Amino acid sequence: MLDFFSIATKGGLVLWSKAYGPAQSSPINNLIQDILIEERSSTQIYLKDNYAIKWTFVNDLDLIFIAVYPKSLGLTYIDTLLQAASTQFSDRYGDRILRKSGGIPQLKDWGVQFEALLQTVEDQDALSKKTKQPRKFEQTVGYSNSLAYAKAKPDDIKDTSKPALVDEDEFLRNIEMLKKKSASPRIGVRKGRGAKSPAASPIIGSDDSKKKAKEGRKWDGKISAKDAKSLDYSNSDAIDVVNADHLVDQSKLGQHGKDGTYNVADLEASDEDESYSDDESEEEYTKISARSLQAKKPAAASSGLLSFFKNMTGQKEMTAETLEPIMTKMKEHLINKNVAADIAQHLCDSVAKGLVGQTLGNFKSVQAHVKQSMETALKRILTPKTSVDLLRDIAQAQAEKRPYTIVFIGVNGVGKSTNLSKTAFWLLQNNLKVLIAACDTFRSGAVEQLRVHARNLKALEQNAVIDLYEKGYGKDSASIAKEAISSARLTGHDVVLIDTAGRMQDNGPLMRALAKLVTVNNPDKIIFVGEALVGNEAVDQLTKFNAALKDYSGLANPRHIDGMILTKFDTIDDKVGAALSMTYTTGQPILFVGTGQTYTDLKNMKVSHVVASLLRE
Amino acid sequence: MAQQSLLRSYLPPQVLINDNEYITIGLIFILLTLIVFAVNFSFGAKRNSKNTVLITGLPFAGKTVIHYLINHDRAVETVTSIKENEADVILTEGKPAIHMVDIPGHERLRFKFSEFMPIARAVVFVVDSAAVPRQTRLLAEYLYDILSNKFTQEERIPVLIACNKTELLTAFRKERIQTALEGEINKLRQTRTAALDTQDSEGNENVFLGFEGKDFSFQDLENEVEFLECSAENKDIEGIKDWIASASS
Repeated sequence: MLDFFSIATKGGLVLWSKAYGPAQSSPINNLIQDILIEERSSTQIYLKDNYAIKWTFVNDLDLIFIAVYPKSLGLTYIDTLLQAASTQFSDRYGDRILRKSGGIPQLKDWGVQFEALLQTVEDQDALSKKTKQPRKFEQTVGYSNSLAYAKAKPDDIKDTSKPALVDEDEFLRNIEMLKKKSASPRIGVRKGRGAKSPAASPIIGSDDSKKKAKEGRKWDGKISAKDAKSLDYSNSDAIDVVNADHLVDQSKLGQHGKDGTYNVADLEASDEDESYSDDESEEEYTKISARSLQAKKPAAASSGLLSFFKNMTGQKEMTAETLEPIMTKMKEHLINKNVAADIAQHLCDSVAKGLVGQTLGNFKSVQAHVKQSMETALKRILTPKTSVDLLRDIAQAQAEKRPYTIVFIGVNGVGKSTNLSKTAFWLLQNNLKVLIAACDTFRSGAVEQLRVHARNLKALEQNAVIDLYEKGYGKDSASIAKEAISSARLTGHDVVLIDTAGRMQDNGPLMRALAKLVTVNNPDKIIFVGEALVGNEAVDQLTKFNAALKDYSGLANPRHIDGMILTKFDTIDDKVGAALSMTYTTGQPILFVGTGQTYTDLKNMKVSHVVASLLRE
Repeated sequence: MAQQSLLRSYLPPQVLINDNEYITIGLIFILLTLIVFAVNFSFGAKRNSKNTVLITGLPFAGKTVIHYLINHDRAVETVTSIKENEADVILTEGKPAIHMVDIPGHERLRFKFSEFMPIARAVVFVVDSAAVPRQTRLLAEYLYDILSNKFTQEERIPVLIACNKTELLTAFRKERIQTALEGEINKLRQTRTAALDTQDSEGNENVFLGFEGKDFSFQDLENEVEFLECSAENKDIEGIKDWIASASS
């Protein structure tokens, strides 16, 4: 059952929370840090330890509603609960919160109300579970041939069987409803308010669409086991995948009607169904959900003139519909800037989720607002969450009297060796003793290339200590790295830079060798070198490199990519999307960008610069 | 036209310029006045509104709790903040309200503090006294960012380091925290000044904190840095209130 329910502001203030089990608020903090701050809220569910967490936003009030429940229980009613709770809560306390913005609102009776809500939702769920059970013998065909059937009054049987089926019908609709909602939160409410879009309004034109939708269903009292199974959506845990199919089916059904969006028709229909559902708790539940979903409608409709002026001054609320075209545009814009397509999609979804329901200020266009929040989101993603001060790390290693090791990995021809030598140059500038381990034992000329670099760097600086550790070609790179590190320990080198052979991310044997190198030597930093030119490929490269490091390591706590160097950054003008793709995929910072051919062309990335380039028209 | 040429003939030749040049001069003059007005206005507004006190620190230091204690005098339960909390509070009677901003501590949201720096009057840096040994470096890095910020340097924004959670057994005394931070910042200013340039920036923008050739000490800074012990759990935050009141008066 539900373990924990919490209502918090985006500022971090917990307005109300209730624990039903041993769950602490720590999974909530994890949720906020791992998902919400990282702009990954286009996902629906977050699993942490033994808990599954679902959440929903109320953006106009800056609230987050969070429900925590055990992972092992695939609770299906959580979405309904969140939705109903959030709408009821904002109906009831919304004004108060807005008036006392930043303050601590008093929440009288919410505990009781929530308890009632939870009860009805749980009852509803329990009921649906009951109907899912196999039919009793009394309901089977076999029973009707028995003696007992003849004795029993025929009316009774009808009465018991019919409501059960209705219940199922009802339940299915509710499930559909909540699925649609979870796919696009609050859509129902917005539509309900939409004085602008009469076609989508639940009142107008809903009558015939409803009737025709009903004709599509031909199960009055007769449901075969197969039918029941195919119609039973209740225990589908994998929401994302399964959901899509159901949505398609359902929209087909909806189109049987006029043109009305099925979502809307469904909502109204469930309201109607009350009349012949004789179960009390269910009735109550439907009332609650229907009321809370439509509660805001009359207010908006009555103030037509006011809304006209509001539109004039630009003070309007953003809905999923108004955002959609702008988000599509934004997504295309990002893709044009070379951001990987699915990342652009995720990001836009996440930003849109954070915007729906917000009210715009005076004379502010939606577009400008979207751009602004996109800017914040981009800044958030690109700002490193760990220290990028490599020199400080090296100083730490020096204090521990051990060499600091950095491995450079990446696909072929991205500039691993070149940027390794640039890094070496920078380290030499800071009077560190550098050893380069030539672990590219594969490509001809790789060792010689490094030797030239070492010679050049030695010539550039007066007392520079830079050496090359090499064992020729064809040897096992992991053992060469091992030897290099132990030799560095003896000779007193501060930093060991390990150059590896470039490899394609799909090359199994080579990826395995890389994982071995990492596992054997446990370097301090694993730096992925990637081209800024890369587009959709960036995601694939990074995920596969990370997966290889994880899968082939055989360790309990496998290593992952710790940072990235983005090379050829001078060649891409303002198409800096790769920077975003890479940081979003790994969550790790971009340590440096390579901006040219000489040793000095290694720079720190400036987040504001990248964000500005990404958003430039 | 005839009159104008007549006028011209009376004027000394040095003053004579073409007709369109008069227009140009006029336009430039108007433009200049506009710019002066705009600059005056914006600066004036900024100067007047500089009554913002920022509350920063690492996650779980207790920033939001302190924020609500100061502004609403209520102990609240909190989770990690995604957005900053703002409030206006009058600490001493008769003084104008102070604008308090509680900035999220999460690393990804840290850029927000630099957005508020231009209007900051003072900064309260909240430290979890019990977590200092494992967070020394993180604390020092964030503190370094604050201290070396352009606005902190130029306007000598005072910084209060509030050592929170003193009610815990494992809490460090403020003196220990100070030495730990000084030692770490001492190392950091070496590595930070040696860091690579950022893209298209002219030279190293980092400033060197303290004096060269001498170990870093908070006393060497031009702005005031004060340490203070407090406990939000026991509502022992009077020191912070007093400091804010005196810093923003």
